[in-house]
Amino acid sequence: MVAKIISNFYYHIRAMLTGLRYLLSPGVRITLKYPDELLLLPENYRGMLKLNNELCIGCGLCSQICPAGALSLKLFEYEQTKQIRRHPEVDYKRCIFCGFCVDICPSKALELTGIHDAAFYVGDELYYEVDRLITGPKIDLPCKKSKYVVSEIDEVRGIVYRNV
Amino acid sequence: MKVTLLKSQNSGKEIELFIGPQHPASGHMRFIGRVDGDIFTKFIPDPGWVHRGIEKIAENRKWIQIIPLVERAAILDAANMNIGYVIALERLLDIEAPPRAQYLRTLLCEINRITSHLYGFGIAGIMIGSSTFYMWPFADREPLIDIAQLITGARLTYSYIIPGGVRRDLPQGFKEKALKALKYIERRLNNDYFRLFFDNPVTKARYKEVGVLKEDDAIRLGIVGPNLRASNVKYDVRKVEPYAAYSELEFDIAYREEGDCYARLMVRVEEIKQSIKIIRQILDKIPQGPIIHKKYEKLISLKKLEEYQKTGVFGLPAIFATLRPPAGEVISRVEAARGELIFHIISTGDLRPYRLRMVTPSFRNIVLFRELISGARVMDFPAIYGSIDYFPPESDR
Amino acid sequence: MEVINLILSLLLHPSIFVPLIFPGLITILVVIILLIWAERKIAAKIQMRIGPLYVTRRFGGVLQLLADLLRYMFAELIISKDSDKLMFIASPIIALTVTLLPLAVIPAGSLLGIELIALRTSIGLLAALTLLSLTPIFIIVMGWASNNKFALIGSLREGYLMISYEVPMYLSALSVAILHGSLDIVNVVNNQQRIWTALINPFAAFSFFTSMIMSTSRFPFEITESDSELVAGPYTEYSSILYGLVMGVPYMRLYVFALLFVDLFLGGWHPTIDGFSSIILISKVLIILLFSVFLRSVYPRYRLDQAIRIGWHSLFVLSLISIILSLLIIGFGGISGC
Repeated sequence: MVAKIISNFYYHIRAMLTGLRYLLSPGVRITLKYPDELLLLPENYRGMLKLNNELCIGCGLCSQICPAGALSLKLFEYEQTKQIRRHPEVDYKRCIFCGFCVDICPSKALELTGIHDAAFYVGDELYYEVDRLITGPKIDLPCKKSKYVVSEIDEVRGIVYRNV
Repeated sequence: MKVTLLKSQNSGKEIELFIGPQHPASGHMRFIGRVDGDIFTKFIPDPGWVHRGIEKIAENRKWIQIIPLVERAAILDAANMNIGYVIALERLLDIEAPPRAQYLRTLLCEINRITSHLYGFGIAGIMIGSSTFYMWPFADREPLIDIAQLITGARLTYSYIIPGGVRRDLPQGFKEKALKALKYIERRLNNDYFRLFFDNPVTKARYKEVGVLKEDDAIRLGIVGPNLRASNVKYDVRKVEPYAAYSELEFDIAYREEGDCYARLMVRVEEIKQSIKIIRQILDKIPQGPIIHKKYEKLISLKKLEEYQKTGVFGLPAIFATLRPPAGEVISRVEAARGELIFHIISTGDLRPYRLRMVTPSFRNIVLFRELISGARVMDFPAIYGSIDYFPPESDR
Repeated sequence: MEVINLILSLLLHPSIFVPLIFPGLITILVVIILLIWAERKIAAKIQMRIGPLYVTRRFGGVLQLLADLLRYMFAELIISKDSDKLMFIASPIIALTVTLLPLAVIPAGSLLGIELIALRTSIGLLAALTLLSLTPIFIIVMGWASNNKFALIGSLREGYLMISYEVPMYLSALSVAILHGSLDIVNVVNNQQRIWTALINPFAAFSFFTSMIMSTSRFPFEITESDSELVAGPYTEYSSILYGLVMGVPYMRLYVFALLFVDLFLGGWHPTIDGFSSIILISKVLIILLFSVFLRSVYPRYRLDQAIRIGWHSLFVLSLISIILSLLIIGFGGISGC
């Protein structure tokens, strides 16, 4: 009975000392200070889409495989050459960023940009017509002091963010 | 099950509590309990608040489009849901993935098992009040999610496993990063988690001898997963009916004898250690070779074939847009993080399945609420909830 | 000129200065703003994150609580139709008032030549403890007046806890009074010039400290307002400025308790600096407060019957042992003898 009281006391002290150690050790924080620090994602990250109109053959496989029904093919008229071809359009209200369309395209016309945090003020801007899809998405920096960081895995601290 | 909610027994001595969907300690689920003093005399779970109709929606989607759908049943555990469905589909199509693809599938499934168990620890911690042990496991999921992002390209919604193999190969420099992340998790698990939470006398007082589930009751009620293994029943689908690369890897089944809440938590700790051991073996032993079945390897265009030789990104063959497996009925069983997951698919040879049925482990564990909490104190309810590791969206589908 | 002199002499009289300015109302408000910020920052540092940052960015978010209080004032005050409206509104206000009452009899050293004690009586310790026991009654009334099942369960828990920690508290304070031979707190402090009570009678100090943690809902005894089980215990139905009040009451109680603890056990304002001895007292009080809020990051919470069992099995027995220890020390010649 006395042994149990002493061992309980020892475990209480050990828990408090662990807390104190984390309190007094310098800077082990895992927070990303968004929007002052923006995360630069690796190359193969699945983000928004960009269309390469010269490679697209208008087969429609991307629209057939899309799980959410976000892609649809429309006839598009080129201004210079007056050619009419079929190209896809994306509705980002429905897109789940799975990347099936990019993977199934036989001519590699759709590509991933790695941009995931584009924001819009008007709901209709979420529907990317063919010409906007050819240009691709772009984002502005959220505030003047934002800078990009890269995440790195560290044995002691877990995740560390280093400036690019 | 008809529940009379307005008629009270015992001449009004009991209070009826509705621990509803919008309550800090209920997840997204409703519970109805009758309290007499400090004891629950009757406790009824009322699931269905997060029902999204996954099985019905699957009757209107093509076979490949169902892959992201069943993942989102329990998004924490996406790879295990994914592999259950794809193994059933492969049995219909009568193909098997090549060895390298099997190893890559196992790698992603084990990473997902660790992140799911860490999430379970976080919920167990906040339910008995320790906010530090809520933040620490959630922070420690970050290195592992980064690793998964390197393999698949997304943080949580992988959609990585397709019939015939996987979508991409491992990038350069993956092994060093993965080993660093595993060492970090191991160090945190062995030192700080035990010192702060698992050896804390307050935790032991809340968890020991609370919610005891005996061995016969566990088998009779059909409990699955770590809850079953904590009651001295050594049953793991990865050993009984091996799938993916599990037959070639060495690991032990984690089990405990007491059956109380503390035993359930300790079984999960042991499973994390075994998963780390499995991942290290995979990184050493993974064979070279193709990542997709040779029937599909020839079915992509020449341009994509040369990109596949160079960078290892395969993608999807075009036949998946009009995939028509032969008619039949299949069952597949895998071990998800919370227990045994069953897929039952009936196909009539069409573009879409006739019936998709998934029996999730949380749905089979829901009976534990009625059995364990009736007769327990009011303040035992969060402790038991946290230790069962119940996830309402997985149960409601 | 005469009017200003009159107002100044009135303000600097101890009966007005102590309850109003130092260590009274204004000091409590400043201390609470800093204490809640410190609690959130300490918890954030241990949990590897940042905590409040953006309100006053350069100082690390110190005035976050002022921003929160401003927001509470603009929220809508909702009083439910079936509640007991008079007690619903009155009980937080009365609880706040009676929490500040013990400051009238607790001494705080001297500052700029003013002796900081408002009412010096020969039974000061008894008066302080009695006034401290008034607040839980109004917390129970809060839960009853809300007409909400979860609030009712919360106030029942507060009632159970109240009878578990009161007895060890009174017995430990009694053992200190026996040791120093007086119920007057100023005498007790002045008697600790050579050695502190906590070093002579550690059982009494431990028992009083744990009763303090139990009574002000600090972890691991945060059972009344367990905010991950019952929604917020007796404080569930409160919104807007009343919510700000009820969240501040436990912290004010903690401050008053800490003052009493330092006066009884940690030597009060000794070792003293002439004319500024309150500064020593306030630094000791701040250390005790920071330790009490640090416990939030380390412990989960006990179950109700386990907390009551600790109150009666461990603390009650410890306080009885501390009384016997005090009697033994008195029997062997008292403090000045050994």
